[in-house]
Amino acid sequence: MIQRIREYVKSYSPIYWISILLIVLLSLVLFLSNNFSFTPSRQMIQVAVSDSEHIKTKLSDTKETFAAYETMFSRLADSLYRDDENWASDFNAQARILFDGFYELNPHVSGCFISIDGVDASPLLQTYVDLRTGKESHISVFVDASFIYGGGGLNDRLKTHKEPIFITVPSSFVGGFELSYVVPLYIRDEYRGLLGIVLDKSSLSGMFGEYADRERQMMLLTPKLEIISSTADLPIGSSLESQGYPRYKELAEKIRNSEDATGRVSGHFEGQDWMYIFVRLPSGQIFLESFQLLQWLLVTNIMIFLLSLLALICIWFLQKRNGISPFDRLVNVALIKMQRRSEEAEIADKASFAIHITIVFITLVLLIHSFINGAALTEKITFLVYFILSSILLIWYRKTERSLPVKYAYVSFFLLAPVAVHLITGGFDAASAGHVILFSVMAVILSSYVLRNPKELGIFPLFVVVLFSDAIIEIATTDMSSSDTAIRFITVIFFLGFSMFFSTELYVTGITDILMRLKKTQSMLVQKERMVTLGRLIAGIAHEINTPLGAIKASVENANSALQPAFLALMESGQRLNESDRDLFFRLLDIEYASMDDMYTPMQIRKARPVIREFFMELGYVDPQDIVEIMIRLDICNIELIRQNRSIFESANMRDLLTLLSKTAPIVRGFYIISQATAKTSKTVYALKSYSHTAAPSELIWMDVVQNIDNVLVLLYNQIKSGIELVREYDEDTPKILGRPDELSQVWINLIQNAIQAMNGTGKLIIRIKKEMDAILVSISDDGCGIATDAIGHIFEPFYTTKDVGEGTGLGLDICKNIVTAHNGTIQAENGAIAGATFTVRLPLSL
Amino acid sequence: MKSAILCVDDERVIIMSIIEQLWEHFGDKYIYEMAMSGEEALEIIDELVMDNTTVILIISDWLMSGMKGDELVIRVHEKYPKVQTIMLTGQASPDAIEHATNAGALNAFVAKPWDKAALMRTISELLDK
Repeated sequence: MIQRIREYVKSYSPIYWISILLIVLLSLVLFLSNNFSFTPSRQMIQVAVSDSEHIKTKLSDTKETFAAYETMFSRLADSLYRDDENWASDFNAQARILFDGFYELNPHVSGCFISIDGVDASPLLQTYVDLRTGKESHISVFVDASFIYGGGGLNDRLKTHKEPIFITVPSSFVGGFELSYVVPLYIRDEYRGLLGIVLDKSSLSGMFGEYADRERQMMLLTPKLEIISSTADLPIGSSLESQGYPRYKELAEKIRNSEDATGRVSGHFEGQDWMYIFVRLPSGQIFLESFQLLQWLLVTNIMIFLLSLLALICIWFLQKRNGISPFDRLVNVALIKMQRRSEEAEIADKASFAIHITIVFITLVLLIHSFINGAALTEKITFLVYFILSSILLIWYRKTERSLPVKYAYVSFFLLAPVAVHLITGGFDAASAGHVILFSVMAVILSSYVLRNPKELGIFPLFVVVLFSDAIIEIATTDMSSSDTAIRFITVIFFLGFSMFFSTELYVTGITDILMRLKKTQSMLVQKERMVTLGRLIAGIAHEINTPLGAIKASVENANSALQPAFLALMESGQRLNESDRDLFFRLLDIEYASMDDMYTPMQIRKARPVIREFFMELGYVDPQDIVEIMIRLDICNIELIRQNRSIFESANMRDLLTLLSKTAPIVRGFYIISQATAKTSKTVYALKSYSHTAAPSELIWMDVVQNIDNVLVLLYNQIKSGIELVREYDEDTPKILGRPDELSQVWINLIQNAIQAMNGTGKLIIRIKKEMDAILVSISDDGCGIATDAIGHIFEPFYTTKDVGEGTGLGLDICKNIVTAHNGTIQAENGAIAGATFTVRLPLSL
Repeated sequence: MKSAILCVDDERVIIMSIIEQLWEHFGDKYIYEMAMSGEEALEIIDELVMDNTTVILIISDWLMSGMKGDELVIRVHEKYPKVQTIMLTGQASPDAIEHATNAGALNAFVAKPWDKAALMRTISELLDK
């Protein structure tokens, strides 16, 4: 088990595992990131503020005026904390000064004021602002967010005095962003007092217009802020009163008396245009928690993690069940199919180019659109950069074609550059930045290593799963009402589109790369398959060669040892034999030769024995047993032949002649056997040679299919002779075809061996060769088990095998099909009417 | 009454060669019978026994159509335990040889191509037992 795990791990590159680990870790970190916190960079805040163009303009000169504002605010605040009769007039005087100054700098801001309590200050200010701005704005106003940002001194001051703070955000200013970012950012856990947020209703509805009920508005406004549940708990009245700020008593009373309308917001009361909300800022983690969007990221990543896990489990399960990973199979099949038709690779190449062009075009349209509509600068910059990047990449892509290092650099650049640009221009909040980083890491890792090992392409569908799930979660969970989330949504869509593009690109380039390797691998596999076939043949062939060799050796030895007795016998009988006897002897020799050509089987010999015996008895021999045995030893068993040559056997010297012949027989027969055996051996060797001669890509030659098949039959003779009845139905004078004999041999061997296997070694094998007008038809039929109905459509597919594991590679018929297709021919399989299967190969005479 | 030596091989020329060598070595001391398959061999043995001829030796190939050599010698050994057996073959699976030897059915093994003198020596030794 451990061994298997080790092998499995080893079959992938270390980087593959590292990348898997990284993705899991990243998800885990995000999952466990309760304590995960980071402070947004200055750029992010700037972006947050820059949402309002006018504030951004203002920021450029606030630096110089901050000091002045601080002084003014100090005085203003001081007047607030004075407990004498003149505080209000002082406050108003200071406020007037401040507002004058501020208004000069911020002509678009509808109102910006400090109001220690709306009741006292706002009518005053309202009047003032009304004078200055007409009816444009609602005032009550403490200070707008940008001012808190700029006025660090004020913030400190507020922290020092544990007072209720009222922050008002005017309608012209609100992006929604400020409340969730800037306010908690500056009042976070250092300030543990009471925060009052004053909103004018119009801005409230402008921000969260689609949420009609107030409670929802509150929740959105003050995410995760702890809302005081009871007016009795309000420290306002008592604490402030005890500290000598009696004016708050009235406010506190009002709050106490106002019924909690929602049950959640502890105290709010409304003026004509105002609404006050009192909430308590809990200590710690306000910042992170107020990043409601970051939570989406967490949720997203948990979901991604779980989905990935699920996908991995599914893959594992399928792999276990089928023995091969579904992706491996998919990729293998796809690649082998592509290899057959390399123009598909061309199409893929063109497709990826088209995608490039489309991307460039889309970014161009977006760019133009953003300029026409006067979109925010960030947006313009983003689209501009994307346009430039994609244009550069397009040119780069066409120039470098498919050089691998360039491709890696290209993908990394394409993925990382947008992220960098977004972060610099601040187009991302934490959530989308998180997404982008996650995707980038994955994408780069994938692109770099997935192509090295075709198996690792399996992570590609996982990547798509992750992307889709992320996008779905994002769309499902995001509040689309604010401009901020809309931007993020667009970003996600963009990245989704980009990722799809990337995936396609990865797939196409990956396939092209793998294709090259696969061609090598496949030719190796073909060679391997050949060797397997050869291995199976070797046992039989060894026998095929050893048998005639044995016969040759025996014959030579026999002839050798027979030489002396033969010479002796010849010399001896030569003196005794007369002219006619010599003539008879040579006739007897002729009979011997004829008999060897028509050799009797043991069965026939046994039947012939009594007949021969009878023949000699007819001739007058009383006990012809020794003569019969010599006759049989000499293979002269054909009674017809014997009778035809009756005159020889009637000769008086017949016994001598026969003895003489038997003495010379080992020599005569030895030569006969040697010539037979040599012919057989050379036939086997020739067949073997023509089969295994494949080192160089063979050339097309005019070849004889009949001879080609007969060669194969010689090679397979051993398998066929054991129990297979071979029927050869060949048309006469079949024309030669233009082909590769060694390749076609492979086809016949595969088909015949399959047939023999299907028949389990016994049955009838019919090989038909028919000539047509412009083609030759070879069909190989067996009466074996046939092809299973559900398998018949798949048998020519690569790696498809019905044999047991280790028995077949599943490539045999795929190779056959490839070879036949390369000859412009066709191969078909069908089951016989009763039993068995027939494979028909049609080969055109010329390509 | 003569004893018989039976040669079994599916190649006629091999049988021919062996019998030639037997003739040369033993002359007409024995009857030389032949069979081209295991099945035929069993048949012939039965026939010979019916004719009161004792089969004393079987020289058999291993790789033959139908019954393989090891199966033949095992079956002969079961029926006629006294018959000596020699496997003369150019290709035999080691398993088969082991199988036959373990069954006590195989007395000798000679590889093809064989040496005449060695084969005859082996036969003589077996027949002298």
